[in-house]
Amino acid sequence: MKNINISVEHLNVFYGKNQALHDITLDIPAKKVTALIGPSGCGKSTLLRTFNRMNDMIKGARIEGAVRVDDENIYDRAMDVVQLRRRIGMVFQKSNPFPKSIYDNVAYGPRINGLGSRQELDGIVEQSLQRAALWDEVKDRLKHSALDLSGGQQQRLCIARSLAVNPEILLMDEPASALDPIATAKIEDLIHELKEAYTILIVTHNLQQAARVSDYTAFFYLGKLIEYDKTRKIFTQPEQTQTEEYVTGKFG
Amino acid sequence: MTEHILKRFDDQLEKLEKRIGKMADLVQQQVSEAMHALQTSDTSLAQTVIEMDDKVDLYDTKIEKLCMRLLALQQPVAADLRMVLSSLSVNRNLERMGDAAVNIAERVAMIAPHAELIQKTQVVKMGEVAADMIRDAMKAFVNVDVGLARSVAVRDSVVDEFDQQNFDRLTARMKKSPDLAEAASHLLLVSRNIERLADEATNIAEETVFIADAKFVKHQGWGQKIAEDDQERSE
Ligand SMILES: Nc1ncnc2c1ncn2[C@@H]1O[C@H](COP(=O)(O)OP(=O)(O)O)[C@@H](O)[C@H]1O
Ligand SMILES: [Mg+2]
Repeated sequence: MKNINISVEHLNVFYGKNQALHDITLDIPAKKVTALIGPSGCGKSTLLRTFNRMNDMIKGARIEGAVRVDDENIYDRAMDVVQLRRRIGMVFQKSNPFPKSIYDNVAYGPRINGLGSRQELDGIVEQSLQRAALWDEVKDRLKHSALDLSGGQQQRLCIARSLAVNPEILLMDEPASALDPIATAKIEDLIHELKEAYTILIVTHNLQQAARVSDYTAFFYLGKLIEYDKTRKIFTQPEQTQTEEYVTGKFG
Repeated sequence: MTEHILKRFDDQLEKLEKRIGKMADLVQQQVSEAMHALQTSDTSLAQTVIEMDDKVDLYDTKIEKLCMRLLALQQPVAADLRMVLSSLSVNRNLERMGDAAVNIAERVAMIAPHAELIQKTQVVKMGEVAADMIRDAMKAFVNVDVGLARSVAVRDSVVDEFDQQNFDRLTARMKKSPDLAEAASHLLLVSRNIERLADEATNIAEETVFIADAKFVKHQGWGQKIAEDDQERSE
């Protein structure tokens, strides 16, 4: 694997006495889509959240091992977590537009980062909405409230908002699980296009979705990484019987 | 507590206590993450607080069902009955705390453009006091520690005082610079929500006293009640 973006080494994550992840080691390639799959409670979200240190605040949560983003251990004492979270965008299950206009939602991050000129912002807003495949649908009503958009549009708006600050990595935790099939298909198309420019990690409980959108797939079971390979391989000829049973729907 | 003849009843009471404990942990996490997100203008962290609400709601439903089952099938009386009723009530208090934390989290993005305002208020301090109150209220409830419960109720007025100060300071700023009005209004509502957190913690503290000796202190005004109790005792 070349161009490794995130490297996980012997990662253990505990919530109090419970161990949620056991000795996970894997490399996430740059500018590819990697899907995390497995039954509910197997630790997918926990792993995703270690990449932007979102587990830090949880009472009793403890982490062993290393997570390197571009060769830098993000669990290093010197790491600036706020800075890290700006480098790593996150898209959630519930779309969460701010109660502001479409324009102001996308311009939000750049403004916070101190970009001010109208022209600059206009450019970023258009480009981000283009990339999120939403521009054509909203270009005539940028001043309208984001809350008037449909669920699928809101989710793409949230993706546009993440893109506006130029992240390197996008974390998506079940980004389409609240959407109808058409809106889901649009998000899947979008993921496909975004990997040209971003490293994408997606948690999904929808196996067909993982198969459709990802280049690599990691299968987890009870907090352990059972198998990690090219998606093609996982869905046609997995090495492990547990993987085989899961992807063929025998358990989960 | 001595064991009941019916082991199943004890098991269910224990289950109830465990679930309440877990729900309280979740809500405390929501509160501390919401406050942290506010202070660091971290909208991602704020969103995790919002998403956690589904989990809290799930616990809420589970606890309510369990209480209903206990009431219908085991017909608890006396101390047991008070325990089940109080659990229902604490469950509701926790659920509302979760809502207040979500409400705070939802305002993070709107305050972030003028995050410097936060330091001009007592919001952070107030959040710390409220978080301590919640922790102590739950501790008091679980251990039926009436002394600790009273200490929670006493702190409620400190939080009210902070809220009033925040109101004065923020409205003064809004008058001076109207462009701060949006962020300042949201921060005012954050302050109001922290005040709600403290109120709910106080309600839980009151339940503890109810469990302990069935004295119904709610709506009587704590200060007065404590004074009366002390007088009773000295008589
Ligand atoms: N905040 C938390 N506190 C305690 N335990 C947690 C927390 N979040 C997740 N867990 C536990 O960690 C395990 C993995 O959960 P999670 O990563 O959410 O799984 P998934 O996303 O695969 O459904 C589960 O057993 C879950 O109960
Ligand atoms: Mg999950």
